[in-house]
Amino acid sequence: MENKMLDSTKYNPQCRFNDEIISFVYDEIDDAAKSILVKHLANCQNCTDEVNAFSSISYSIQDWKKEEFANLASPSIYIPYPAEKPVDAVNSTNNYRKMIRRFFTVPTTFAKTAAAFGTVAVILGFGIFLSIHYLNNSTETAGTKDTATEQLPMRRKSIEPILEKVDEVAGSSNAEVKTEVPIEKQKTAAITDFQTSVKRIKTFGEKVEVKKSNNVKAPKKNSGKIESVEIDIQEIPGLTDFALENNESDDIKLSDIFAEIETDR
Amino acid sequence: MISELTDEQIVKLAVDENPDAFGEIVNRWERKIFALCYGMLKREDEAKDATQETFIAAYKNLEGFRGDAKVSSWLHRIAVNKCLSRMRRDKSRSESFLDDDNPAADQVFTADANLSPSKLTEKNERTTAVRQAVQALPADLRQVVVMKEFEEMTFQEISDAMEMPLSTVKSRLYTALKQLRAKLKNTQIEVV
Repeated sequence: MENKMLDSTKYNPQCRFNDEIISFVYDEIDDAAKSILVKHLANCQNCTDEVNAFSSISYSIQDWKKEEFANLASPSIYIPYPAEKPVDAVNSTNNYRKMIRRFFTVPTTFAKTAAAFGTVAVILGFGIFLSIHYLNNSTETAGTKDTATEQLPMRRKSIEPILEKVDEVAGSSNAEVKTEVPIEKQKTAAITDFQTSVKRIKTFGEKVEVKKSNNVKAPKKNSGKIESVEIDIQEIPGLTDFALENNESDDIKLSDIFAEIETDR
Repeated sequence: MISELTDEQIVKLAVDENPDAFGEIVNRWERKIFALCYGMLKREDEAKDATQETFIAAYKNLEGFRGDAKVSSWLHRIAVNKCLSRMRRDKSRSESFLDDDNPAADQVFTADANLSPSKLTEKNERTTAVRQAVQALPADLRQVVVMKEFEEMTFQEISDAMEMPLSTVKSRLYTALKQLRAKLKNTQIEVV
């Protein structure tokens, strides 16, 4: 600013106080700049004329504004607000929307859970259906060849008749005749027949062929002659009864049977 | 009370809860925006239309209002754009006296010779001359003059509204006044 003042002359058109002059005309100049400009105006006719001219024009524009614009009515501004609704209608609409929102929001979780359970149920049902269907087929297939197998599934059979027959035969042999056939062979024959019957039964789920006779042939000593005795099993043993392969069952064990036979002897 | 809220708070209220709150913005700025449009455009009816368009555009774009800007600046920018659009449209129709490319605009303005001095007071002549001279200014200079004189905005407010540096505002106003001075030199207006 000081350089500008030093360079300024009374009619120097090269003065560069444009911003200061404008700010001065509209009274938006700070005190320091105003002080400097006033000192410059005292020495610069060009800038002084410019300040006066600008002030005159500004006053003229203000007159124009007052004479013309001040008499103009403000325009009526129409704003396209959203259509107003009664309070009740608004509330009811909001409630209705909330209800719909709740209706579709809550069941979403429920539907997921239900879908999960439904899927599991369908899978289980399908599995059960297949199992039953398979069992039925197995039973029907076996039943065509041996009616005895129709009674196999899940029936607990008593081995008592077998034991009774064995006891009967063994008891009679001990009392009346000498054994011509070694007892070991008798036992082996009995075991073989018995196991044959058991093996055919314990293959659960497979099509098994069971001979008509599920008998245990036990040696019978009659008048010094060994005869084969057929023992009719009135009730066909259940699968659980014959799961004796490794003597793991605690129900009935072959070893117990032969132990009794030995005892009877 | 909504009248105690700032412009920015009212706009937020209008966006979030009550669109009718925008009416308060209209009440506060309607006259100034009309003044700007009137200063920019040469006819009252066009100024009213531009003012209407300005507020409708603002209302329709309330959600686009930047919270960091002033509502006044936002409205002024919209208004200036509306006025410039109308001026361009008028220019394309060759109806505008304010054609910036018109060599006549750079000529020294002389008062209408058809006006009888006996019928017009000197004040009216001066008013007419100034109005026509202002309207002959280029649009960028005119809008600064109008915002300063009609709306009586400060330089800083104009700078904020038009998003231009403060020095540019002063420079444009200086240039505008210098051109007005030159245009009115030969009229009966005493411009020194």
